[in-house]
Amino acid sequence: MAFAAPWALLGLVAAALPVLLHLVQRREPPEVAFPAVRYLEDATRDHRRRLRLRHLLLLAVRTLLIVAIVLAAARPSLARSGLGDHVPSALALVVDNSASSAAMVDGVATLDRIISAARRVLDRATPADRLWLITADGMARPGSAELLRARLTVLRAEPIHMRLGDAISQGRDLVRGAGRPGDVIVITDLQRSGMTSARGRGPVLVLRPEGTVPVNRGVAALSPGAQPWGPDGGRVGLAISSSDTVPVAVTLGAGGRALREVLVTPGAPASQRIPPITPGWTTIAASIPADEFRLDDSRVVALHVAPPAGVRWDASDRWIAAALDVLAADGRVRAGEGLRIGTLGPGPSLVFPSDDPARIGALNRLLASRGSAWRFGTMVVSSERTDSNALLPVREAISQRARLEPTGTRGGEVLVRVEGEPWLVRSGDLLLVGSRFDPAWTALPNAAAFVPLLDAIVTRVARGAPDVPDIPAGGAVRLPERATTVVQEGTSHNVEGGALWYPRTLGVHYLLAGPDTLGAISVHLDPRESDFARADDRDVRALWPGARTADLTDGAQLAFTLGDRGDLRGALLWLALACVLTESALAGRVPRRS
Amino acid sequence: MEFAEHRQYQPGDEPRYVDWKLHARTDRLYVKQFEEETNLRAMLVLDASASMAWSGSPVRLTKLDYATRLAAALALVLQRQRDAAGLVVFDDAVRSITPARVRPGHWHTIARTLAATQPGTGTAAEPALRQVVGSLRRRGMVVLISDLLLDRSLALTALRYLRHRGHQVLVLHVADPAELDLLRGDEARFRDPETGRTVTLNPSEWADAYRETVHGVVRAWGAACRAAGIRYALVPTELSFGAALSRALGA
Repeated sequence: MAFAAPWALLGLVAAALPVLLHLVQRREPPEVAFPAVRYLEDATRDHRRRLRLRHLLLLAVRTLLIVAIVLAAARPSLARSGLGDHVPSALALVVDNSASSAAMVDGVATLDRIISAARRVLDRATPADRLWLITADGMARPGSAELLRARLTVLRAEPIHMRLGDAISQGRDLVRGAGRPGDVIVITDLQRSGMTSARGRGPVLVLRPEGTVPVNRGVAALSPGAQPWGPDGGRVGLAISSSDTVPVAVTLGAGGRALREVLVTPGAPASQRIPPITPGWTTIAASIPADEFRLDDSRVVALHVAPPAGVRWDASDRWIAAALDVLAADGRVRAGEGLRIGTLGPGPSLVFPSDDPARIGALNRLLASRGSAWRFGTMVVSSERTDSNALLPVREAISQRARLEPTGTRGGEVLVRVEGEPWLVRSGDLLLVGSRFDPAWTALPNAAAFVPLLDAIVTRVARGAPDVPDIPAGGAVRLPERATTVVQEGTSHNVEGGALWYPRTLGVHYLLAGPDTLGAISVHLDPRESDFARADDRDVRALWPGARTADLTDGAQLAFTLGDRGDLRGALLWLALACVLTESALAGRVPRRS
Repeated sequence: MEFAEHRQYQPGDEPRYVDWKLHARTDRLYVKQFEEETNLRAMLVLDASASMAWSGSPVRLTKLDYATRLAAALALVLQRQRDAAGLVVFDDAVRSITPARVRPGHWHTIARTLAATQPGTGTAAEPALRQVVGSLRRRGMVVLISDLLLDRSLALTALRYLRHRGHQVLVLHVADPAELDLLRGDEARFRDPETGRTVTLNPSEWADAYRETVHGVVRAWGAACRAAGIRYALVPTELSFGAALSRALGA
């Protein structure tokens, strides 16, 4: 017998109420004089046994009434099928072939054990059963036992993360829709990171391995920082995950060439210098010695190296000049043709509002002649802050700004806002800022974010450099509108520009538009898959109420026994009704009139 | 033959009973009457045991009070019929004996005795009934007024003996309604005022069984009395005295 709401069984304590009431009511009775005691003695001698039996029956019936109601509240169910064939059932078989299933344990891949268990479950299926196979990719594949066995044969570990709760929800929906008794069976390595809450109700059997969890080390992070890099090289952030803190030898490489080997302590982020690299697209790789789980032993990111951006600025604007000097010293910019900062030039320009309101009109006319989608508007003097975004993560104080107003020309893009209004915008090769980079207008020139903001504007925004997203396998990324092809390690396939794309292979994917490289996407293993910490049975029951757990090797025999269960609530409620009637009949024999 | 009283002469009276001395003093004819001329000699045997001093309700007389009044009424009726009435009061022993007389004013003697009667302790009817035999020199009537909470076999033996001696025997079973039907209520410990024995029970649960038992006892008394030629009447204390008298005399 199983209970869908076992907490309700706490109510069984109430079954002691009739006995307790009986005991509580047992007090010293008052004494009264009564001459005919001999008749009372005669009456009790003749009837005491019968009345005691009635009392015992009443006590038993009242206790049984409470027990029946409490049990019904706990929603009990009982397996209908015995050892023979089960009734036609529905079965959603969730096979966890997420990345962690590729780990080797005692020389055998976890996925092989999972598939063997899944086969044993399918061996118990009959042709009358409806079956689905749900895997880490989120697909539910229906089919006969033979067909699903064939699918299991070609099943491989996917380098993606699996949310078991979502798979269970999906399985429950399928089983419920089948309109017959059914189970959801989850065969998994039961990573704690994969445990998510499930929707709906229904029996769940979790088959999980027992024994120790293998030790795993992996490259948890490899970040080249802001791109593009200059030709003088740069630094990469590096992190190693491990269940211990023993330093790990990490081999760094660029463009397929090993650069150096460094020791990194797990859990402690490291930063390593990468020597100058030829401008263009390349890769940075970090790898560690192979262990039982290979998928996280190396990680590759795309790197865009570009020549220093040419910038012209007014040396008298000391705040901008100081920041650009820093960037120039770091090889990020050079003085020359390119982006003009401060005034509107014939080419790419970063334009500030004039500090003389009388000249705003002339500036707007020049902007209009360049076809700008934006113009400067009225002045706002107020204590405001920028909205946080990727370009300017920290909210900076703005004390004065000119409103940036759209002119109606298409092509305008807002990069940074202040209190919801545009503050840094782009229109073609023009960048307009609502405030001058001066402490009288904004606190930004004295803020730590000032130089990175200028660096991003000069080297990336103004040049229209592509983003290089770094996403986990299975995650979604929106492709550039112009993208037509994705290439990875020599393999290319066509894509639709502007669509969402879900890469499932690890490594660097280049986005092409014809012969032009638009950008690249770095796809890495979800770090949750590197953590082999296993959930225990208590976690399972807490997250999926009513779920049962069994060992991976012999739990298949429980298949088709969970859903094929009779709901005992009806029988218990009938029993409770019978108890009420019996109690009324028995108690009615003892009139309460006094 | 004992002189009882004078009565005015009426035609047909025996001349030998004319009191000539009185005629000489009063110049009127009176005849003497003697006790042998009464119709009946009745002995009222009253149970004054502790169990009789009980009432199931404060608005009702105790059984003893009811019985004394009933005895007084019976004695008065007998006197009015010119029958001799006597009284024996007993509890665990005979307390008092008032011989049966037909004299005027004898009723007052009986009434005073009844009024002075206090509840005693136990009940022993058999010696009292046997003592009655000695006081009734010729055949008469014996009226036992009791709640019958006594040893039934001994009491019946004595009653049968009286019957065997040719006496008419009447048993008036005085009972409080609360003894016939147990008042329902919470659990209580019931104590017999005579024996001190106790029984603890819930009247609500036992009322039916008790009624069945009591009615069985009443039926048994009635059957045993009928078998012995004894008249028996159940007299609940809620019954009016008129009804009780007619039940007693018509039993």
